[in-house]
Amino acid sequence: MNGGSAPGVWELAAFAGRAGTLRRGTVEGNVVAFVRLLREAGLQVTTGDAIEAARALLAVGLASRGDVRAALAASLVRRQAERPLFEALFEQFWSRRAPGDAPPGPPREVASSDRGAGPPARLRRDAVPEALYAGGDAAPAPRATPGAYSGQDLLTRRDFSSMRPEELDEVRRLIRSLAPRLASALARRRRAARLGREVDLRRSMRRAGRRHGELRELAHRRRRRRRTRLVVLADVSGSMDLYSRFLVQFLYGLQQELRGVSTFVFSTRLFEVTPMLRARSFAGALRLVSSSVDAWSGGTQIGAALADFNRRYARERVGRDTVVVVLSDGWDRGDASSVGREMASLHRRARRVIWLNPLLGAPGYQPLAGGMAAALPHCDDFLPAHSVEALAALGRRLLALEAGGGRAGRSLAAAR
Amino acid sequence: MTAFASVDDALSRLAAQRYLASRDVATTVFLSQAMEKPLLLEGEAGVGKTELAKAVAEARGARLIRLQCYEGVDSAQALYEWNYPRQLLHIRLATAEDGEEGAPGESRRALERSLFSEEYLVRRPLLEAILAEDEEPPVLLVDEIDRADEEFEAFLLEVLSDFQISIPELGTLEARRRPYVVLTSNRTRELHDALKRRCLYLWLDYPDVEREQAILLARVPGIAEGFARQLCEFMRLLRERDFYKRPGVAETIDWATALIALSRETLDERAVEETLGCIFKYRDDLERFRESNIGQVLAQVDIDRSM
Repeated sequence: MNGGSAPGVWELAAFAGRAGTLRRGTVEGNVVAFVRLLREAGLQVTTGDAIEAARALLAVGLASRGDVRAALAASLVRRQAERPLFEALFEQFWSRRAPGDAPPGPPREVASSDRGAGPPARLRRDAVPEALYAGGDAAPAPRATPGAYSGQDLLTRRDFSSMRPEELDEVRRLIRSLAPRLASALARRRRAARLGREVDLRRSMRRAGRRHGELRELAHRRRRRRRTRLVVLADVSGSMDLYSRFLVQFLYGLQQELRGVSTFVFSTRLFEVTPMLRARSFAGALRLVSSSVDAWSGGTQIGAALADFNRRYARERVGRDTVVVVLSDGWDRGDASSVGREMASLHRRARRVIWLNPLLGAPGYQPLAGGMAAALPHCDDFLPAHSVEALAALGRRLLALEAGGGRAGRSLAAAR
Repeated sequence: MTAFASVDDALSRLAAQRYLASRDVATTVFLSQAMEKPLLLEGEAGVGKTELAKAVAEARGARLIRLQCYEGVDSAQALYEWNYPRQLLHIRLATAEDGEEGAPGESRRALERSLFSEEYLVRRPLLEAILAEDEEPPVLLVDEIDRADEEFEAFLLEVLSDFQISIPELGTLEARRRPYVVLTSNRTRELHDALKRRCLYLWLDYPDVEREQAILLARVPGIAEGFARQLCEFMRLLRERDFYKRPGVAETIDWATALIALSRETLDERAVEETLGCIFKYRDDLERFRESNIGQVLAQVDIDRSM
């Protein structure tokens, strides 16, 4: 919706209607054109924001460039991470036309002529048009009946890497239906739990005491439901790519049940793909990674990627309510001891760390690879995630945590 | 004292409260007041978010009403509660008197009315801010909103959008004049977009060396200019490094105060070693810092100063 050509015109009309005090031609035209530029760069700016920006400009006046920048930033930027992009676009746009100059040309023209020299268009929306679920035919919800003997049943246990393309399509559909099924099972359990509430006598009496012995209401024991945040770090180098795709697709479906899912992919470098996933384009997200210079030059540097994550994102994204899921085979081209160090730091910060290694699905696999061995002491769970069934097991585990499970219980290498 | 008249006015009146804001900060503060939008402050811990709210209140001669958020904070702690023990006492007294007189039906209704009057309402910060009758609208500080649950965030969004609340027993109460609202967040989680959209956003960064020096001179009595400069240069170098919790302005002020109390007038390894507890609050950070060569950092400070 944001990328079309209509909003410019439409917004001008909205301005004319809303803001009688606006000096037409200077403020409004500039703001509309600038907002358009921001949107093309991938920032989410609503018409309401644009009106607020114009109000802000009128409040501070156009005399000082610094004030204009501060006013626009305050009304158009929502998080510090967007600030550098905003700064670059501001420089580009407002240096060309000092505020207060002659009225701008049609917004359309401004936007397209500035496009070439623009800053990295890393978030550009229209560049990632593909739907998350490849083969986006409005596929009928699969009628997979769990437990029945069917071709599908076999399919759910097979390793993704051993499948033919048409089987992969089938699996994709299966995965899509998996998350809602798990979620509704959980909802049923919650309802049952609500009915059987237990009276907390001690607390009831204490409460009555505070009220001069009047027993006004019974206190119930309740399990506090804490919504879990999820951080996914998926290895997309070489053979891990396929597994990562399915994992991210699966967790994407589960995200309604969780408070927030941040997704990162890494090979030799780390990228955040959360915004692309919001736009439902995992393929686009992957393309971004592969187009980066050294992503495919061979091997993985897990330690370096984890260090990068810890330094740049961990403080904001990982807390005591966060489950971190890492998917990788643990083959690290870099320094194995750094994997151990970074995992330890991550583990201290997170509520739970789950390591997924698809190789665990293969008979006789031993986690001896340098990076894997170093990471293992700092993981709470070690699971395979190589098949539909394994993903379902992961989903159940995550939702159980959501329903109030603590940090207790490790399932190292237990799941097969 | 009244509202800020312009960006410059905001800048100078904040400075009079010893809050040395950059022009960007003053602009956003002025705007949020002019546009009647809440101000959302984000930034690392210790860069002066809460201080800014206090300074704005002081500068405008307004009362500061503070709501400290924490995990599990709910509307009873933020908005209002009935004073139950007092109501009960009132009932007991009333029945005692009733026993002597009579006319039960009439007095019961009257009793009920008086029980649920404003007299028995315990105002919590949000209601206090809404009902404030001060000459200058109060500054409502919602501190560390990121620590509250999302349910509370949604509730707050509702209150902030029309500044009225309805209490079933009393009816709808509306703010005569909107309080000036400041929200702060340490970014332990991302806030909801709807809330952000309602606010003007301001990211507070660490001040540059000159500004931090000026802050020290304004805040720490008896500190020499050169010494303050040395401390700020040292802090700047520390903040370039990778710590779990990098020291903020609050730490710099604490540190300077401690050094002055120890009658230090110049920075050497021993002085730093003695007062490390003012700068770092985590063991990991302390250890990481000790691993590095303090002397080398100090030498770097001297080089930067002489340039």
